[in-house]
Parts: sequence; C-alpha cells; structure tokens
Amino acid sequence: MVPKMILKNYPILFIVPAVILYTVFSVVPSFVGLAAAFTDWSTFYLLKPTYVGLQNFKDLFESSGFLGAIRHTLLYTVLHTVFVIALGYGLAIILNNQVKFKNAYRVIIFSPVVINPLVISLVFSALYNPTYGPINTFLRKVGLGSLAQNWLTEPKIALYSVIIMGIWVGLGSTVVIFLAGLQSVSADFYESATIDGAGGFKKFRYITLPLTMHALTINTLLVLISGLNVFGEVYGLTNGGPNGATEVFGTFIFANFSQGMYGYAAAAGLVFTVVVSISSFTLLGLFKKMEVEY
Amino acid sequence: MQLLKRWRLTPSRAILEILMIAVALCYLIPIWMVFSNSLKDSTGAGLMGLSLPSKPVWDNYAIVFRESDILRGLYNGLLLGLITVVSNVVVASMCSFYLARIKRKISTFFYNYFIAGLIVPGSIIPIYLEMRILHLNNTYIGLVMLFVTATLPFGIFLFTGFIKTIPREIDEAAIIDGSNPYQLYFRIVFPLLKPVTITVSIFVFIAVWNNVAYYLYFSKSTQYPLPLSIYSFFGKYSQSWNLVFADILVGIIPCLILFMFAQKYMVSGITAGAVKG
Repeated sequence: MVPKMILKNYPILFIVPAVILYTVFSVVPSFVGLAAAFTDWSTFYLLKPTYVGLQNFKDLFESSGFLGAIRHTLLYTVLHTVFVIALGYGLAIILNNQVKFKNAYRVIIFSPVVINPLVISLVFSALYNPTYGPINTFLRKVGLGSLAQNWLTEPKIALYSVIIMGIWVGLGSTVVIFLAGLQSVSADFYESATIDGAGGFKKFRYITLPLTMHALTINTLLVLISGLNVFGEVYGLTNGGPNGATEVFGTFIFANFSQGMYGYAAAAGLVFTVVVSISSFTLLGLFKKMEVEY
Repeated sequence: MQLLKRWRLTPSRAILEILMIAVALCYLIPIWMVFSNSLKDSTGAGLMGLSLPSKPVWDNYAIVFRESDILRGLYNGLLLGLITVVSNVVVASMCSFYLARIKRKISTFFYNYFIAGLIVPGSIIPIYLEMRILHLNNTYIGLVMLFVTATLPFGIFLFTGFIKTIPREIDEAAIIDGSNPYQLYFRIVFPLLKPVTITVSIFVFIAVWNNVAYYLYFSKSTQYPLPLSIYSFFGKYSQSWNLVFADILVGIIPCLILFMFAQKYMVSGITAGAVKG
C-alpha cells in the first residue's frame, strides 16, 4: 500500500487536460456526431439536416463507387501488408548479417518515412510518366519495352502502381522494427542449435520465427492500419482515377465531402471506422494467441 | 562468436550484396532524378533523364524562392509543428505521470481509453461538423487542437511506458523534502523524461509536417505547411518539371536535415515502443 501522503502528490488534475481534449475532439465527434450519418446534412440542408434513417447506407451500398472503394482499399491493404511484411522481414534478416554498409542501407530505406506522401507521389508521377519516365525508359533500354505501361492511366494497372509506391514508402519503419526484434534474439540459441546439427531453415523455423513473433505482430498491425488509412498517396498520385479505378475509403470520403454531401460522407466514414476496427482487433487477437515466450 | 567471424566473399554473400545495392538504388534513383532535373531547363526536365545537364540552370532555385510559397509554408509548418509538440509533450506526459503512478481502476480505464485511439481512426466528417459549430475551421488554434488530440494516444503510450521504469523512490524522496505536486512533476520527474520526450517530439513534429488530410479538410491554402505548398505549386507549374523538382528538393531538405539528427532517436523510439511495449 502506498501511503496517503504520497498519493496526494499525484493530483487527478494531471489527466484533466488530456481527457478533455481527447474527449472533445475525438470521442465526442465519433459518438454524438455519428448522427450526421443518418441525416441528409449537406451544403444544401446545412442548417436543417433531417433524419433519413438508413438511406445514406442504402445509397452507399448501391453505388458502384463505394463498393469499388471498399474493394480497392482491401486489395491495397492485403497486397501492401503481405509485401511490406515479407520484404521487410527478408531485408531485416539480410541487414542483421554481415552485409557491408548495412547502416547506410538502413538509413536509406528509412528516409521516405520523413517525406510527405504528397511530395513522394509527385516524384512517383514523374517516375511513372509513360513517355519519359525513368521506369519505362529503363524497360526499353534493357529490351523489355513491351512491359512499358501507362502506369497511372491504364485502369487495370493504376492501383498496382499505387501499391508499389506504398510498399516503397512503408518498408523503412518495418525493417527497423524487425531488426530490433532480430537483435533481441540471443546468439546462444543459434550456437546450441548448430551443435545439435540444425540447418538454416530449422533455425529460422524454430528459433528466429517464434522469437520475433512479437515484432511480427506489431509490424503487421501497423502496416495493416496504415494500408486501410491510405489517403495522401492515392490523393496525390491518381486522386482515385482513372475513372474510379484507384478510389479508396480516404479519397471517396474526401470527394463526397468536397461536393458538400456531409451526411453521405459521414456514413461512409462510419463504415470505414467499423472495417478498420474489426480488422485490427481481429488480427491483434489472432496474433496474441500465437506469441510465445522462451 | 559468430559475429566476429572474418568477412569473406562467398557466392551467396555476393548475391546478398548485389541485392542490397539494387534495393538501395531503388531509393536513391528517385532522389537523384529530382536533383539532376532541378538543374535543367523546362524542355530538358520534361524528358526526365538521369544525366546531369552540361550547363546547370541555378536560376530555377531563384524562381522557386520568388514564385512559390516556400517561406510561408516553412513558417506554417514550424509554427503548427512546434506548438503541437510543446502542447503534446506537456499534456501527454502529465497525464501519463498520473496513469503510470496511480494503480486504480480509473488509470486502467483512461489508459485503454487513450490507447484505443491508436487503432480506431478519427471520424473526420463529424469532427468537421463540430469544428464548424465551434468556429474553429480554418484557424491555427483549431488545427493545433486536432493535431494534439490525434497524437495524444501515441504520446501517452510512450510516456506511460517510460515513466513506469523510473523508480518511485525518487518521487518519495522529493515529497519528503517538501516539494508540492507541481514541483515534483516539473522540477524532478519531467527532466528525467528527456529521452522519451525527444522521441515523442520528433514523431509528433513529423506527423504534423507530413499530414495531408487535416489540412485539406480543416484549413485554407494560406495555412498549408511546406509539403502541401509544394503540391499547390505543382498545380500551377505542372508544365515546368524543372521548377517542380527544384521546389521538391528545397522542400524536402529541411526534413532530411531533421532526419539526420533525429534518425537515432526515431529508430530507438520505434524499437522501444514496438519491441518492448
């Protein structure tokens, strides 16, 4: 028991500013403001929104734009997560071994983390330029000219071009977390495994993987959330185009907001919040079960 | 020890080295493209070649400084970033001090209350409605409130974890020496939080500087920070890639400078938060 005289020195006043700010600008709008999703609130009915029940949700799920946005967001998130985790894990394992200049590589791969997604998307729109962009120029030079594409204007490819940029951006922090996880595995485990005659794959399967499971959980969760929340990258690179082929939750909500359809956009935002929360908490629960302590 | 083994070139190692060089090029070539083309004339930059021009056009940079909103963007970004950082550090660390020290249901509740914000996304349209009612749209103060709120869960997560590692005996010694709660916190405890304060500050600053959505929803273009002013500049000068590239380069230099100083703290912050957390 902590004596009363000591407890008195942690006044509850200390948490008041944080609780007020967070409640007023995050929790209250999330709960009370949800009402907007059930109204026809828009620039037209700005001062007199009326209750319209589930009409907004009905319209959303009947519009191809929103269904497309859900599909693209999920496709983006799944591919982005799989590739960032797999490549990030692989790169971290390589960088954890004796590669020359490994610190330089780590810094280089990490650097996009500090650059604004809109600025990165400007650079990539130049890289993806169909006529002069370095990517197509390179493909033509090495004799793979047939692979040169309209990376951002061909509807079948545009989303994958956005995903590739997302992977490029997202690798850095993932590698850093994996490296930290790998470095916390004691070398003793590998030594005794070598004495027992375990090969490289067995060492990975029975030592590295289980002991870095925590880093894997955190990384997967962070990358998943960043994928579902993607906005700046898509807004800057394609703004949902061509013809809705890269529309995601973020751009869909912003486009409807910009047209003044607030109630409709709020309903889309509500669906988005539910999707993100369910996926994240499900994944968190799933991973928690798989973690082990040695 | 495995780590001290001498480095020898084997075929598998050669493959790894080549692979890593290829990966590094994927990151360096875009930067190089921006740099080399920022020194060309408009026609040359339109071709987006990777070679350096025979006669570099340094004038591009002078034009960018004259025509774009670089200085205003820098001012907006620094103003909003620094105010948010200071507010976040004070509000989040004080709150964490209570949450980490008091073992009662109320602490557990509020800790989870804040941490949920790391996962559940903020609902931006309802916030817009509320900001409208409070007349906070298109104001710096409104933006700061939103940024502090958005970064609170992260700050509280890191501060609480760190404060738990500071022995309680330090508090008790200070209390017995007669310090009141505020002296205890600001004079004794807060200075001990320096490492985590640096990490939180860097992450919060970068979150404000690199945000896109909040500026598009809640501010006007004269309040844009540097990166968004680059994007507006692109809107006006999309035919002159040389100017756009020069603007991009000038715009990312402050970030890269900050990054060089901050890299160590960012990495240790990510590591401590993710791997130990």
